Amino acid sequence: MNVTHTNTMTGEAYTTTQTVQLGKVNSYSECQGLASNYVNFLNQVMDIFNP
Amino acid sequence: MIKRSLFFLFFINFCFAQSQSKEKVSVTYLFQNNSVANKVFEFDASFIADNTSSIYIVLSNTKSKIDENAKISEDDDAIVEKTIDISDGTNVFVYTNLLTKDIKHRSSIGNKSYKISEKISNFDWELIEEEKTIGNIVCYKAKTTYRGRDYIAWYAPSIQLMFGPWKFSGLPGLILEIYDTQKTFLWTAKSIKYPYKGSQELKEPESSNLMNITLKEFISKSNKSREKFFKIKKSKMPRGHKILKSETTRSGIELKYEWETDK
Repeated sequence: MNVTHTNTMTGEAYTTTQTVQLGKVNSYSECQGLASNYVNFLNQVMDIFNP
Repeated sequence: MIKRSLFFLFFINFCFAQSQSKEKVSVTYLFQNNSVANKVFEFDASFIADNTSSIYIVLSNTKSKIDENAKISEDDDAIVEKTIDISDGTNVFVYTNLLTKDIKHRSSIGNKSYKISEKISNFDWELIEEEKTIGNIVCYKAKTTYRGRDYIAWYAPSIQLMFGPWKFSGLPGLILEIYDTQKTFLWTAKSIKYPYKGSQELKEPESSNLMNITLKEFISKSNKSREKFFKIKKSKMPRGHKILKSETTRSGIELKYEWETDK
């Protein structure tokens, strides 16, 4: 996962790269499902708190 | 006779210096920020300088604000990407004073805005015998390295003001174009008024609503704010999710600071 916090006007930018283990899967479609859930989670967290 | 000639030369020099000190320049730069993959953010920046100070103001442009959800990378389906624009949509300024050797600039963390102080950097410019014309002004090339990026600048000796856009200064003429060698950040003069006779004032912007802070303190606060963000994210992660590795790198104009390189 890459999260970039950027101030486009001042040119400040920080990119945080995290390797996240989401769980064990048996198929590619299960993997896609987990990734999709993680995207939703990430968006919810971003809505709650932005630095 | 020699004494009279010397006095005359001194007088001419003095008059020239006085007339120079009153001359101002006004420039509109195009600031291009290509630091986010597949996106170009463009802002107009107004700039006024005389021989002792300059004010550079990036004009807010709400069209450039990033507002998109996290997504799975188009290039690699194992990567989830999210970009958050933390600019608060207010004009950003950089005020440089050669007499005090101070730079004051505005930035924000969350909903708090700061006036950040730092000293003018001693740019170690290498002058290169290469020229090109910008508009109808002859410019010369120079190179430098600043806070982790290599820059190419084009300056105009015919405008004898030692400033440039953003924090750049120290060349024997106004910088009309400057970019890093990766072309991630570019400043290009769109219009130049010299000498500038307009009424726009050259002074440090009013900032009673801004908290005064040094650059080092600001960077520290900014780091803590992001750490807090990722702590909150971690605390809210669904059961079974585990962070195996986490690393933050700078990807903006300034990649590293003097106090960090000294380590």
